[in-house]
Amino acid sequence: MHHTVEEIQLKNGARGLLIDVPEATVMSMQFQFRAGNRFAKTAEIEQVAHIMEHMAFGANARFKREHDFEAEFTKNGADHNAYTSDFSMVYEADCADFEWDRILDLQRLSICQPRFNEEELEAEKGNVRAELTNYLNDHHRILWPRIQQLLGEDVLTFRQSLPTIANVSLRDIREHHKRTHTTDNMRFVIAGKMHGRRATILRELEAFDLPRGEQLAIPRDELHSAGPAVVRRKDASNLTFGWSMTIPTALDDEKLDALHYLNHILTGTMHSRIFGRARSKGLAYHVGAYAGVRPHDSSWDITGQVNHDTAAKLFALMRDEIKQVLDGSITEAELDAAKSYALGRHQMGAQTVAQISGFYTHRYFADGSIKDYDDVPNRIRRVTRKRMTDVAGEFVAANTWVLAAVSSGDTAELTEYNDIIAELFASNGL
Amino acid sequence: MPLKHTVQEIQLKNGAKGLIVHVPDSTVMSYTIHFRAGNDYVKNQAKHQTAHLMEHMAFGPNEQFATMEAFSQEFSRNGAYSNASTFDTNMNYYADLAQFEWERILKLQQLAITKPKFLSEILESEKGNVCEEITGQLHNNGRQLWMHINRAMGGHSLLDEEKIATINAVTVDDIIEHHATTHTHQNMRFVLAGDFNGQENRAVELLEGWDLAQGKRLEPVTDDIVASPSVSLARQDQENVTFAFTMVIKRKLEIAELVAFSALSHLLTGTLHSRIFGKARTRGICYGVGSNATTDLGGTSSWDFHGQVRPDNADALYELIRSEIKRIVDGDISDADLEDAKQYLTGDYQMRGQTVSALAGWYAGDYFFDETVDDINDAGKHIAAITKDDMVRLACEFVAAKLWTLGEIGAVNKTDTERRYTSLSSLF
Repeated sequence: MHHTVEEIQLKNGARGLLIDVPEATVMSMQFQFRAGNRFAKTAEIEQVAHIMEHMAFGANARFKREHDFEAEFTKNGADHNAYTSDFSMVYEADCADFEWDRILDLQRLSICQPRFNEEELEAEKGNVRAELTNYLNDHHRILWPRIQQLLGEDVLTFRQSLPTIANVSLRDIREHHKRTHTTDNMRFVIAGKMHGRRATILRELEAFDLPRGEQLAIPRDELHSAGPAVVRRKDASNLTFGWSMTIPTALDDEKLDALHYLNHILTGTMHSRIFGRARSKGLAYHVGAYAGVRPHDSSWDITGQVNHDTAAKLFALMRDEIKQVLDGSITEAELDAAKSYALGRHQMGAQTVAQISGFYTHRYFADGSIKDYDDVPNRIRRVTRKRMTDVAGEFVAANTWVLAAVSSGDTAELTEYNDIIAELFASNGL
Repeated sequence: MPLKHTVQEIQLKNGAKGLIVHVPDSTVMSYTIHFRAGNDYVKNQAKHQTAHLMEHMAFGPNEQFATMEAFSQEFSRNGAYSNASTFDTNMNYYADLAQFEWERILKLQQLAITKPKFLSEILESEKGNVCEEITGQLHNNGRQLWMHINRAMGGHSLLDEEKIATINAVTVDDIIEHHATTHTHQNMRFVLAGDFNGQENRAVELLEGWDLAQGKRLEPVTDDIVASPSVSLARQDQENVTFAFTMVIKRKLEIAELVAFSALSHLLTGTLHSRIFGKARTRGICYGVGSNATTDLGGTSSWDFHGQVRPDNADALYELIRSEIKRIVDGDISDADLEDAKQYLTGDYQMRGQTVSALAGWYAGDYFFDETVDDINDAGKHIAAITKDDMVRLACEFVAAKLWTLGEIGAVNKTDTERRYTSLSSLF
């Protein structure tokens, strides 16, 4: 869908994007605050942010009960949700085009004028406890906080978070909201039909009744390598693994693009170097590689599930293929194929308002950058083989990595696999 | 509103049937090719995973490409995405692609489906991959629970451990035989969606040229569903309970009835102000509980409640579920409840069909099931026609049938599950 983007700096300090999608029949809104778990005042109340986010859907200045607010919000099928991550708290809503103003007003109400009360706090403690307990059954979910922790990030695992729920008081909730829900700490992305509405939207946003505050700084972690770690699950039928390599800087766009398309060559298709070859040898049903960028560091993650009897071969394959990349073995034909694939995917993107909004939000909320949708084809064309090799080399040279797995096996098994991929770093002269 | 589109049912001369969903100005196409070729149609059930293995191998070598890698490279060169899935009854091949290459991708799908070369070395690799795939599901507790419930209620589906045990016995001859008997014109259905820009006839011409045997539309395998005692599966690692409370009737639900169930599901579990989910959240006893009604080819329909709950809250949650279903059976739905549900469903349907693949999925579900073409634009009429009496009558019918069970997996023991089962049984 055709769209145009305008960045808005409000007088109240908030910033955001208005994305005009002339053909839209729905409106998508996202409001982000740097208010996630890392901004809890103390580790003893780490879940304060998460519980506060749940309570924002509860009583507020106009509705005495969560039930009443919810009935009003959803009466025409509008959908709303929120999530709390390490750094962010994001409120999302999608609604039919005709009721955008009603939904924007209700979003403002829940964000700016919640009425936190003891009764809802106790209920939400139960709900958050149930939610985190659910997550303990998801092997990928329990794996990654452990990896973050091993690398030196100041986060808790779900099991460590659970006991902090009971410590959270109503005073803590109010304090967290007051400190984090400020206009200077708020970013927004609103996408949909803007014609004739822009002035009203801006007026509504200026009317957000929050203190000015400041945009909270993202904490910096000193990342380091760590030995292999097993999260034991007696019922685990295979090995759910994560191998994370990090560097202490944020990748720029050119390096990020190079890593992104390198990941495609490694695991993106049935003919890819790692996933495709693993499948052709019957070693693993799925392996994926991903790039991540944060303000102070970047990660290159390879994750998947593998049976115990084929794991050693899979880790050797991963080691060998990354070594090949470091040796400059990516061919011009592979690069061209990856670019052609990416250009096709680009044409297939932006079918919905939510997809368009999603293209911008992640990066904008992370560091205020505005990606240029129309420049994506040019960025794809600018990727080079050398840049792929260089960015892979940068991660290996940093030698800051960890391998962890959820498994019924013991640490000795994972140490064997750890030793296999450690050769990659040793062979690089480290 | 859904994307503007028109739907045309096509009866090919070769016996295959399908829909062309024309979506003007879309830049994306979506294809689904369907056969009744799932694991139920494997000749020797001791080699149950033959169908699943065959589906994996269809992406391998074929008449034009010597290797899976070469075929994958050609297929995906402009970003086209392909996948396939095998169930008990259905085998579906999917592709999402850029509009400009619709003909090239349709020809490649034709190649994979009609001209595969089933080689022993590929079979051995895919045995490994299928084993990896199913083994990875053994700790998917929700999936395991439903399989055991199906078995307890008289269903014929194999458990995952049983499926894995059949993999090694499969031979290349089994694969070839399964393909030949199931991948036939009469047994094929398709939904092609996107901007055909006047080239619908060209698409039909291509589909007419598919080289498959005539065959016949295969009949679904049916089960005689019975009420079951409770199902209790202990898992050492799990600290909560994954549960499913299912009720069954022995008839198919019509579209209007499924829409009435959507209203009932909205009322009971659809929102944070719903009667079961909303109240559970207000009391802090459950993070998520859902409900839905489905109907299957075997002529049965089910009404299910499912979710996860901590053991100390399970009794309270089940009592809430029981009492709220009882309220429905007693006719306790107000005009306001009905209007709220209708208003919500109207808005919800207006936000559906926003992408080509979503539109294709809307039509494919019913069409592959029984060749119903359920016009998405008729959703408003179906919603407007819902009555309280319909909702109450349907709930009463499921309760009166008394074909039900409660299943739990996780931090459970048989005594606790049986106590909760007994508590729910008072509903019947």
